[in-house]
Amino acid sequence: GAKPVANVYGFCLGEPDDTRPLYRDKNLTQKMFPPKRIMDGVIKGVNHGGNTSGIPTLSGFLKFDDRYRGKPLVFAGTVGIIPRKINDKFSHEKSAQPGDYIVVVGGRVGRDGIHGATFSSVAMDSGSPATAVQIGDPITQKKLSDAIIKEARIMDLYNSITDNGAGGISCSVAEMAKECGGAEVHLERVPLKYPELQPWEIWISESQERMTLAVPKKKWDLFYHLMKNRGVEACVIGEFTDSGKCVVNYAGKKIMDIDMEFLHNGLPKEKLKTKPKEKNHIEPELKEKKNYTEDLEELLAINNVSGFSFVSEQYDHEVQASSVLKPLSGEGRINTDAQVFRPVLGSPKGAVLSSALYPSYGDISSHHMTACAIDTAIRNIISAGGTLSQIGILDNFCWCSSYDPARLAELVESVQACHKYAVGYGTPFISGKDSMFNDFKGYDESGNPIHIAIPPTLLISAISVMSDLRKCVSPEFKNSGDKIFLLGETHSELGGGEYFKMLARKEGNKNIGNNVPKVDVKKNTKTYLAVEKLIASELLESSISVNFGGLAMALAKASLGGNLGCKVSISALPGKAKTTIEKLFSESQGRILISVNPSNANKVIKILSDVPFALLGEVTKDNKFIITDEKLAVNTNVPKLTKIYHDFSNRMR
Amino acid sequence: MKTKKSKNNRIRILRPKVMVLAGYGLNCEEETKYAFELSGGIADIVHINDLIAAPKMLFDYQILAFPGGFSYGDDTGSGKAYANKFKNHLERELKEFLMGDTLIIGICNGFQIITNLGILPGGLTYNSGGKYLDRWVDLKVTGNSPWLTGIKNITLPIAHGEGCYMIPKREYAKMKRKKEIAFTYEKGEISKFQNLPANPNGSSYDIAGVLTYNGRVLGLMPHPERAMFAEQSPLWHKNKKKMKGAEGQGLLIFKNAINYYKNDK
Repeated sequence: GAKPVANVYGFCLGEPDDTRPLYRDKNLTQKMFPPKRIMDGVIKGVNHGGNTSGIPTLSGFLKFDDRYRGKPLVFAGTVGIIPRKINDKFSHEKSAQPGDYIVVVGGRVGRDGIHGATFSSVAMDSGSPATAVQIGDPITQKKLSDAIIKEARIMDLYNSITDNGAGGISCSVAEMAKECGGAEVHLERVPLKYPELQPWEIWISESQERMTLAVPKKKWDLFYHLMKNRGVEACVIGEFTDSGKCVVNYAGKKIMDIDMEFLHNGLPKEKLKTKPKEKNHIEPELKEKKNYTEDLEELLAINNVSGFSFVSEQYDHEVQASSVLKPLSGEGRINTDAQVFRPVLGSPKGAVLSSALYPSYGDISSHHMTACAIDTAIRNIISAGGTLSQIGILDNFCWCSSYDPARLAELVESVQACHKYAVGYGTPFISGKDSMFNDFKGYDESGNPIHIAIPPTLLISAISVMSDLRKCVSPEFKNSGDKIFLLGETHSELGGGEYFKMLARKEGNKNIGNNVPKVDVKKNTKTYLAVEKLIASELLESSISVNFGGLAMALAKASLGGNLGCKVSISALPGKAKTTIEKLFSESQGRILISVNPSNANKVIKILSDVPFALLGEVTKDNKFIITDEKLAVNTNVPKLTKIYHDFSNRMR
Repeated sequence: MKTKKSKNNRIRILRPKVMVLAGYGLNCEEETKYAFELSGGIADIVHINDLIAAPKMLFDYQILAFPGGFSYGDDTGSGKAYANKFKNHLERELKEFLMGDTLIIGICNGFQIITNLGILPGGLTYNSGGKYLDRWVDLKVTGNSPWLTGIKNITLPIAHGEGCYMIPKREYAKMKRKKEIAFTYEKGEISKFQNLPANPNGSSYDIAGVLTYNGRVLGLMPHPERAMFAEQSPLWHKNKKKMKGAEGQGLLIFKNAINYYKNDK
């Protein structure tokens, strides 16, 4: 019963220029789509589903890794808003009553989406079903959603409501039947897209745009006519009961009769084994260079760091007239790490969104991968103006075979870390989802068997509230002369990061190091609370979370985003980083790069009394981009950086 | 309704009423209603089926708004199906409505709908870039209309896949002469700021919006309701201090419509 107010997306894909063919079968007849084709398809899918439904698509990311070429991951989510109370009742409370009609509304049922839920959690091979993917129709959804949220909800026409997602009506009816103690369904009454579906297909099909409601008998007439008038199909398929049984009939024949107790708790728990595996990578050889201009420019061009405006601008992020900190920001149109929007017109309150994932850290430590994802999602929120005490997070675990004890051990490690860091920051997990067995088992072009498991991936999404959205801060530099500060400590933590991955790719090895960034909740909390205060006092001109590619990338993005140069020194950073490479590219967590009007510098320093920070330098009017350590470390210019940053996007457009 | 005669014998209406249409995938009705109310009007969202059931209700309103969205999913061409439904059931009422001292606006999908209704000339097709595009544009006001009083330039967002406006040369010349080209895309503040081309979709003669019925009917691809607050502009983050307390430029269009009835002219 909530109104959708924002869409989010995330695509984990193989490298788009990878054209090595993969086949699902030994005879090389079932060819897989190459990563570029998959990318184009999923971009289009979110375009169609999101734009058509009138929900702003605000937040998103693209992540590339070779190991996603067998099974890509596509995340899509929606933020909803619901009044706390509707008609004097708490809106989150719902309960189907015995005697209520079981009503399905929205789209019709077809063969699309049969085994969808199981498909997403089994290895992809030659036996994968072709009908597993649902066919979406956003307009049916929009009509349904409008009729429910804008009318039926306030008219108090139903006692309970559940979306038909995984498992179709078999799950929604069974879930709601729990509220009252039973249900009896007549499957022949379910509206079908075409005849001749088997009863079991009707029962489990995941055809989209359908909801199941518990409608009291005396309200059915009114409900039916409202739906009819809004062009929404509604149909009674049975009745909720208190019989303690879930009974399913088809054309007068009873085809299922199961105790509710068995239905919900009957599945015996499976025992799985874990066995942690020692991970040790070779440290890359680092040669001291004359300067690191070239390294910085190469890193900025990497698609995990560079801009993806070609995707952001295809998605309507202005509908509902809510967006304030947009997916693209500043003259240089950099992709923002957090977005701010106004979910309720007329209210000054803003909602803040962000997400983070570090699949490559998992090659070193699942624990730290998890910690860094949580820390980055929170830090992104804080940088834009969110409130630490009002952050909710959610998890998306995409893992590999659960029968692989080493992989399963990584999952356990990750779940434990989720608990530790969520409790540490006081940020509750408000929801989550998982998908296992993201393995591809097929054949390469010579017919040799090939197994590609995704890197275990934990996506953390975060949402927060700010009391006055006009105080939100965008990431790009604003004025020449502003002072640039780095908050937080920089350590030698390049392991699994973008810089080491780039070196490994260039050298053709797998030497990604071992010093993965670690999260210090206590220290970071102090920094985040200080930033919250700085933003509340309107002392910041810009604020950018330091993440992929480290300080060098944060500086580059802030500069090119504002189309302004900068002159900074990194010779005295707090933390244990020693070499220029470490200072530039280490991905140490808990860091935020801010710029401040010189007249506010003293006030800012006062608020930072218990936060480690460095005054790096200032924003400059010319377009020079200069970083010095003991000597000149980087010397380039903003137009060049802008070109590099947008190069990937321009090639994909 | 509070009314008063003005000098030129027009009836002054202090709080004119606006009908914002909805249904079948239109999706900007809430913010469009909000913009009209922020401007001083009384706005109601009306589902097309409810209007069809009681067509006379149209005459309780001075202003009719076709908001943006994806009516019928654009599946049979943008705006076509909704326009046909409207025409089949409400053609007579629309004609009568247009005979009065009324205003009509069609925004984005609404523009596509009223073009298909035949009350605006020309047609809209796929963007020259081939893709749906969300960005901000600069507009130069070139038309004469109550909707555009006092506006010379305006910066608004677009978000559409079929916003390329096409019109035959001869008709264009006529419209230009009659000041019925509402806006053209120009290289202004935003396009310069973000280094973007002025014309986002390949529209002929850079047309972003058109007028008919002495400027009382306005159709435009950009979304003024998405620029009703200053902080919606991409320029806001840079010019926060300067823009403090300012309202969004888009609101001017809604205010003009309300003031058309409210003010003594």
